Amino acid sequence: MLKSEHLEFTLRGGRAYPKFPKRDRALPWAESVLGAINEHLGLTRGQLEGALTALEGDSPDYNLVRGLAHLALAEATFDIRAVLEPGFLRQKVFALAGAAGYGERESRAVMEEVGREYGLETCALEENLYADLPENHVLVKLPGLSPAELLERYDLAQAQGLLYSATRMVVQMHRNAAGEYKRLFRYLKFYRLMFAVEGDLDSGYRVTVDGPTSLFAQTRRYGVRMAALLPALLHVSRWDLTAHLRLRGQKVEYTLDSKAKLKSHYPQPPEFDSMLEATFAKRWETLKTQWRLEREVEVIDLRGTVFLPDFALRHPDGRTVYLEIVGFWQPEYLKRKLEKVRGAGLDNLIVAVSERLNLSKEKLEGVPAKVVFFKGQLKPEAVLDELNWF
Amino acid sequence: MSGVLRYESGTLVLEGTSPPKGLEAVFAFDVRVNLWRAPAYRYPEIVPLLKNRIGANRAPQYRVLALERSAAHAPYLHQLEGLAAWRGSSGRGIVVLPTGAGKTELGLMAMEWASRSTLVVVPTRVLMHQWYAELKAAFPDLPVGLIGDGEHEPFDLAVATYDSAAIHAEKLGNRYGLLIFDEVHHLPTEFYEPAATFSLAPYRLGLTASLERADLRHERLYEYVGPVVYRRAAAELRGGVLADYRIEEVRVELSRAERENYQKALELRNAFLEAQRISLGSLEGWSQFVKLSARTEEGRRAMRAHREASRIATAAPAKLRALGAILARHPGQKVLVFTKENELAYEVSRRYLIPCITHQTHVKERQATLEKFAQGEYRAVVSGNVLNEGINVADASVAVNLSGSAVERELIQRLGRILRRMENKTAVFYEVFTRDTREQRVSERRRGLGQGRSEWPQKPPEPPEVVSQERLLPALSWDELGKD
Repeated sequence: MLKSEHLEFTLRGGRAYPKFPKRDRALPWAESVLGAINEHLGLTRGQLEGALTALEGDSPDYNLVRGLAHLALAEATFDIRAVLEPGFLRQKVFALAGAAGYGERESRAVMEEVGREYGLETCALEENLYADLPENHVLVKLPGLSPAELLERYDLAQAQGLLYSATRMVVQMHRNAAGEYKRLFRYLKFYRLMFAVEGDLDSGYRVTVDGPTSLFAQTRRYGVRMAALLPALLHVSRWDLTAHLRLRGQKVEYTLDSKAKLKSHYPQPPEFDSMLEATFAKRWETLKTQWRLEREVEVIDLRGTVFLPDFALRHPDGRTVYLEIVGFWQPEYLKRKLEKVRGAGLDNLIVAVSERLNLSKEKLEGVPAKVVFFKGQLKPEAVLDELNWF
Repeated sequence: MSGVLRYESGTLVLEGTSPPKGLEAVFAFDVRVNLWRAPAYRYPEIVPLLKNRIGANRAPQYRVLALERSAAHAPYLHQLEGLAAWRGSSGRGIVVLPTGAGKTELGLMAMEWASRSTLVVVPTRVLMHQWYAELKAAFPDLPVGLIGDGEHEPFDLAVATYDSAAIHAEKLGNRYGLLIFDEVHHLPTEFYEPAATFSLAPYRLGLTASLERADLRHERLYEYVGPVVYRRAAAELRGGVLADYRIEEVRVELSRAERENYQKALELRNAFLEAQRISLGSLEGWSQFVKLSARTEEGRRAMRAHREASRIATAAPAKLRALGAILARHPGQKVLVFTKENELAYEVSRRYLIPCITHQTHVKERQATLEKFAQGEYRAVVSGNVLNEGINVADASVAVNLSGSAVERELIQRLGRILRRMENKTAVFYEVFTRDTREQRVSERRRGLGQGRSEWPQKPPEPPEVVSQERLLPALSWDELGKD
């Protein structure tokens, strides 16, 4: 993500707009920034920074260049190159110099003495002395980005940068697959954000995002985490977003939707949570039944967390039954999962449990659902049988 | 009795019950999770009213410690009075004392009294180092942690920077029973406030020499640190003696090539300024220059030329040679070298093998370096802008100012490092600058000479306070400095 000083935006009529640079202006910069970095493999950060400053030269585009360099360098790796531990070497030569007295001749004598002790040239010793300073770290791994990818990161980072100033974010989501929702809610928890969910499947879900202390006062405390969430949101197919910002002393809004031309660099979530679900969905297609298997599910708000069944089974006559497949979970995760199922209090739920879990009947007590045990793969027919009960 | 009080991410959560009478306004019902929630810093109001009404209080995770100091000086009257006033306010409040009146000491006294896990929050790495050393000396049997500067050691006794205390506020909020905010006037910003508001610590002490902020935000401190419980002005604590000193000017010359490049850079910059009708004599002119330089190529070039000129003047190799001569003149004496730029400090360190302390130096290495300097194993230290204040260097009597800003306070602070009184001591302060450059004017300005505009009000700082306490900074007045 960018630093605040790299951000470029305008405020107009109570709204904030990021300034995305024109491609024909920005792409050559991205190429030359990456070029400069590539040329410095094995050289120091100080040398590279000097080259980047020279590259920026007198151009008024300097902020764009710095932003691109900042993002590219975040993907590079630097390392200390030293034969002797620099802190140790400093203690040694400073103590000798303290005893010898300070002067250029004395310095040379000290360095030669220590050089002899370790079998090192004086100049190698000199380089070693402050090898731990960041500007003397050596570039060992390149960013691995193409100029076009770097530009995509830059545009995304400009949008994220506006969210640093967010006090609250409202995401409107509409008919998305369970997997996409799950991913988003997982990220919300990972970044320790809080949310409230309103709405239903047909009109869509409105998720208000803020943090624990937002209850007492508006704060930008959680803005950086909301910014980190944006790339995850980009993997959800249908949504729009209104962020409430406090920026340059004004209250403004920043809006964005799933049609935005921003690309996420977070890994694409898998279409299904597990092979088990994927195989089940494929097999269902071959079944002759009026029950349709859908991955667009209701979000069931459990206050502080949500329950998202894996599938919804819908009949043309209006009936809906949810299916949750409990495959191979860790005991702790399973416990929380079952608590969620219990808390959901649904009367139209089938829970399919793998026999490999060795779940006793007591553990499933209070689970308000039809339970189907299965060995290996879950057979669609077994679920279809249970559907007759609804 | 049922119900549990828990700490959660800067807040207190009440589970399984509703808030009793008197607390309805402190807690708010959080519909997001169907629970009652309150800001953590209101813990001391909450706990007495919940006592015997709930099943368990799981919120605090701090510890009661036997904090007895290994060796304490007899405290000064103002420290005793300050502590008494703070205790009288239930261990919550702000003490305002002038620089050098022993605020750290007062903090240690407060820790002894509270005897709880304590977090000290400080604005700079230098102060972090200083508190670290003080805590280690006062409580040698307990580990002292650092939070910030690349460390994360949330021990029962720890020192954190405001930055790190704010960043980790959610996690640290229930680990400490006492918070000490040094230079508490830094706290009331949106970014730093969680260091106080996300914490349930029942005891809080704010320390500062200058509480009032122009933006009046200091008033917010009364809510989450406590009221001003004690205040003494410098004049009320008068006294103090300083060592004799003299200032020596060392003018160095640019080489011919350096002089040419310097002139060229200045001409380039001045041509731009003239074309734009900007005068750098005022703050307004300077900010106009900064603005214009961001917009056009000519402006960028002029700004670079400006920086190049000042780089040539401050980093003149002749200065390094002059330093060599000064070092040779004081063999065996302890010497402090000050620079403005880190690069110059490291260059001095490489050339003369003098240990260097900059903002990049790790706290533990910095402390070891200063200890060895005090013991005499190292006879010189070079510093890029970080030893100006706060650090007490033992028996140094020679200081060399290789480069600095035009600010008078900086010179007073740097000079102050060598003015601790000793028998027959005369301190020498060398002002090294490049002749006939902007540097000469800057040097003159910080010494109050010449016609230069002063960036600092000409009002003398308050006279020194309290006598002869070992680690007091010698404060000194502008009048004394000007007499040389």
